[in-house]
Amino acid sequence: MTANEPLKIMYLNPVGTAAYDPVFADMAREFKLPGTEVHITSLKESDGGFTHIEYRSYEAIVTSGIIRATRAAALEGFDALAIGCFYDTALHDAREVSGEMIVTAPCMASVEIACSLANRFGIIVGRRKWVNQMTTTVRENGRCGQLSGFYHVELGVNEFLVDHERTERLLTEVGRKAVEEDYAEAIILGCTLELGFFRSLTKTLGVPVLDPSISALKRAEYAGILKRQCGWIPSRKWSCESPPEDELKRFGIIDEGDVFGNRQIVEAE
Amino acid sequence: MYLRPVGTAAFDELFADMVRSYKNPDTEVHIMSLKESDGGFTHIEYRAYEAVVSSGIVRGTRVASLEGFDAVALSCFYDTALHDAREVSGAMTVTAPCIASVEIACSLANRFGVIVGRRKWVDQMATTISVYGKSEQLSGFYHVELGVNDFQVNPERTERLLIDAGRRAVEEDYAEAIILGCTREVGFYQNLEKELGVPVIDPSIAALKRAEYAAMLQRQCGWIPSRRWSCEEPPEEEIDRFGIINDGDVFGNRIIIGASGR
Repeated sequence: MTANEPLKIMYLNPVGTAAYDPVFADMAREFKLPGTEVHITSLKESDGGFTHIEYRSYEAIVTSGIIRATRAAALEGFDALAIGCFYDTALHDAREVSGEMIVTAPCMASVEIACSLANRFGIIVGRRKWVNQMTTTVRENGRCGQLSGFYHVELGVNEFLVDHERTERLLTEVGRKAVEEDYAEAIILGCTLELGFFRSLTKTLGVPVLDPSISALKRAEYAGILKRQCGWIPSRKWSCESPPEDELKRFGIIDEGDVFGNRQIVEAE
Repeated sequence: MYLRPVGTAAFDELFADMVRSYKNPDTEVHIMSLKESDGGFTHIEYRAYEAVVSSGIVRGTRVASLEGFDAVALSCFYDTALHDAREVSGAMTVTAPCIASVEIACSLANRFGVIVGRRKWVDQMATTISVYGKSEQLSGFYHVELGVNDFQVNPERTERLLIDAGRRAVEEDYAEAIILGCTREVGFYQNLEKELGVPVIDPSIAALKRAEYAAMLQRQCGWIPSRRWSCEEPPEEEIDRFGIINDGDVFGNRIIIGASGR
């Protein structure tokens, strides 16, 4: 692969429906660098027709697809992969099989950006259900000390895009609470389907509002650039050891068949 | 802007070469150092020195912001005056080597070690990494007892010392990635990666690339620094009234690397 070839990024929706792929393809088209090729992928409906993975039990099942998709992306020569769920589902598992490809995810990407723009951030989530697990993720990223709190609007993942005006009103209300009552200095939208709101919320709230899908895409591009220009690829030492190739072959499943239910390609310009 | 918080231009050309090799083609980079007349520091290993050059960093950041830069990378692994500089950066993002390197290391490995020059530095750098929430991923600091100004004197000896320290980190303390803990450890990371078999992060390059990333986020997504609560900037009229921050030229040297590598 030469330096002039496009950066290849996969944005993986870890759900068993292609329904939202066009929305993320539009996002990628608008925000990717000109020299980046992005593949928006989702999993097969036959492996579980999940339209969201709000539950840990759903995550546990789609994790298998995430691993297989990551492995496929690595073998196809992608530079980086972004897992499209704010739970950062299976991030560490996927990294184990990513070869020289870097894997990132929305929560870690957004938290990194937030901490470069502000000293304290709040996260607007859909349902209170999500908070326990996301707190652990933010803690693992070392940033609980900067977290003003989680603010829920009691919308499920599949409800954010149903009534745009209502969603925006709800996000604005809790955003105000985060900023004015809990002194948040930046806001992270805590679901990849809170898509299309960050600009108007930034204006209304007067603080940076980070869209996690865009963050994950841009972090993946950044990782791809570091890989291409500086040679920085994942460690494979100690806890970063990959499973042995012969074992992967012997155990089967991980490399078998096509894991993707859909793939939409946004070409480099 | 790549801002070197020292009062000498002696190593500006070394960093200009680094920038030429690693910047994106479309990026214009200005390598700056401070005026010798404000203190001819060739390094800022001591907190006392940092305290003095912090004034230049704040003034340099303010100038960069007024000149319309997209981002500033401060060039000392102490991340000297990072939060102070951010206060006067306007719409410009400020980054620094330690935070940039730690972010990259944690995206490539679960545990990293930092190779520093002198043991003197460790207490302060440990605090910095703790502020970034990454102490649990830190295998330790490994010192080679070279001062900042010693790293480039005998590159062969430096490389040997860095490899020895890196081996200790990886083989004895289970580091999975290495960060070089001084911007003047520039020029060694690729050989070290070959020798040690783990990613080795050069902090100067990391800061430059993180600044480019921040600029990209600013241009494409409009993500600029918050100015709410603790991020509030000093009032303009007060800056004018108090003077100094906007007075005179703070830079002793400026090397410009054009967008097409000119």
